[in-house]
Amino acid sequence: MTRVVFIASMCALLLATAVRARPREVSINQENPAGALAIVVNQANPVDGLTLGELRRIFMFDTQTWPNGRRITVVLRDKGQPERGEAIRRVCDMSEAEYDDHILFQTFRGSIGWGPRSIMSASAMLRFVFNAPGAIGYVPADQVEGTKVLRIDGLLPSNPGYPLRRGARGR
Amino acid sequence: MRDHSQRSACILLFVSVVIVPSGVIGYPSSVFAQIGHEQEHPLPGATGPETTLRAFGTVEWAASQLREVPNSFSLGQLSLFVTSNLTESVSVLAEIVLEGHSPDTQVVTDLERLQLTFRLNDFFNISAGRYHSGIGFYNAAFHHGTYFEIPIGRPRVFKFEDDGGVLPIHELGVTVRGVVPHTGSSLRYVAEVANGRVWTPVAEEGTTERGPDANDAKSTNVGVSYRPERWRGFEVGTSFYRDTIFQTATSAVDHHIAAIYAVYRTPSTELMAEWLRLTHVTEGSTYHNDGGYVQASKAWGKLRPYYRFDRLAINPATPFIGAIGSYKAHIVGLRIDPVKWVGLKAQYERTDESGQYGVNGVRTQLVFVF
Repeated sequence: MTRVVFIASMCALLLATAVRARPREVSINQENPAGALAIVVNQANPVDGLTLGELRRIFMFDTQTWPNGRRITVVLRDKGQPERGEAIRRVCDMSEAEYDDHILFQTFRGSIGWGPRSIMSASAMLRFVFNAPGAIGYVPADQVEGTKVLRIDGLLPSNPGYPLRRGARGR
Repeated sequence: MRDHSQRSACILLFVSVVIVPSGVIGYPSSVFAQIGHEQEHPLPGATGPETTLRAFGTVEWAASQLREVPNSFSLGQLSLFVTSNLTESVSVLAEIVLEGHSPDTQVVTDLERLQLTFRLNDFFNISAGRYHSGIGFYNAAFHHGTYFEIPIGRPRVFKFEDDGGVLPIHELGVTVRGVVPHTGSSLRYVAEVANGRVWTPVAEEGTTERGPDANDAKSTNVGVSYRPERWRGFEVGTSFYRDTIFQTATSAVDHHIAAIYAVYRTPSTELMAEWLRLTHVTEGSTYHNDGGYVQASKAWGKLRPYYRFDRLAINPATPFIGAIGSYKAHIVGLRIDPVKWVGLKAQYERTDESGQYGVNGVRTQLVFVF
């Protein structure tokens, strides 16, 4: 009995350690074959889902506050990282250069108070979203940890037809 | 001893199965709690004002078939654009323009925009200071940095006040903008109250709105725009501006500007049409003047051909702006963006202005952001 309990304890510890390991830095394309992009927000955010159009408006800064009045902080990967361009293409249907142009244009118009924050890695993005109540970011779906995953058009990244999957067409 | 071992194993199991995983699933977990965003990714205002400076530069060359107009290089405006986030909801925007004069490199400095903005939510943003008035679309969209404009130069009706413009391009006052609730970000409004203009005839170049107002009459402007979600990039809108301009203490001109526009702008396509009616009402007389433009461009990679029809029809008897005269132009050009943040424009113009019809001209402009 003692041996069984001890072995079970060791297995549980190993499992817990494995879960606690830092998320791997992987490319969306290379190690996440399904290519699903999970949209993550802080656990305290009352929003559970968005339409792709609402998500696009947030990334384009047409919408800048959550329904509870908290300011939205859009978090992207650092400039030049492929994950940044890919997310912009999937969500906003434009290139990274076009998006940068759009942000500068809107800032120049005075429409944007502060632009998107840039984050170096997926784990840093998860930490940022975990700590910032108004933040919204994205990570490969298999790396989500400690944050709330939003349904997009009512679907989670694991659901068939999820719109932010490689090969899925934006609307 | 056996009981003791079993108790120890049970405690170990409890710790392993219940406490450790709860540290991962619950909050704060060790991975996420180690670094707060205050240390690693401060939000605006968390560590003091976050200020960003951008500059927009221009170099031009122009030539005309008119003998009295020599072809010439010139420096355009150098626009210094500063934004700063004081808190999550409060930001400052300033645009300082340096204009160089080729012969003696003398520089004229203008504070074109300075506004403090409080963003309560998407429905209510209020700014105070000097801003571009929300008349129509072009004036609120395009400012002094010419990088974002596809053709060279603003449409004639939207020229700046110190460049012979007919509109109150800049205003000093308060502006409120936002989304109309329950419209899904589709319907937007703007409402402005400002000093308006102390306007001497254009020949005396006296349009000023930067200092204290010379009278109690305030200008007002209201506008709405609609951006349907189904047609991304499409926007229609209208605005109505009114002001009273005092010629003397007892004589005034009521000034109304009605604007309507439809634009379709995506990164690769631009279709814009805008029409404005400027009305001046004096005792016993009403003068109507019209201005507007139609503009189209389409990008193929780094190349972007464009066309603009530009029109300003002025009744010469109109107070203040009658001397400006009418204007018509067809503009055909090509914009090339060889590298990011650099654009090269070249255009052919055929203009009718000041009694001279069918005047041909060419202009080139190098624009850049740094």
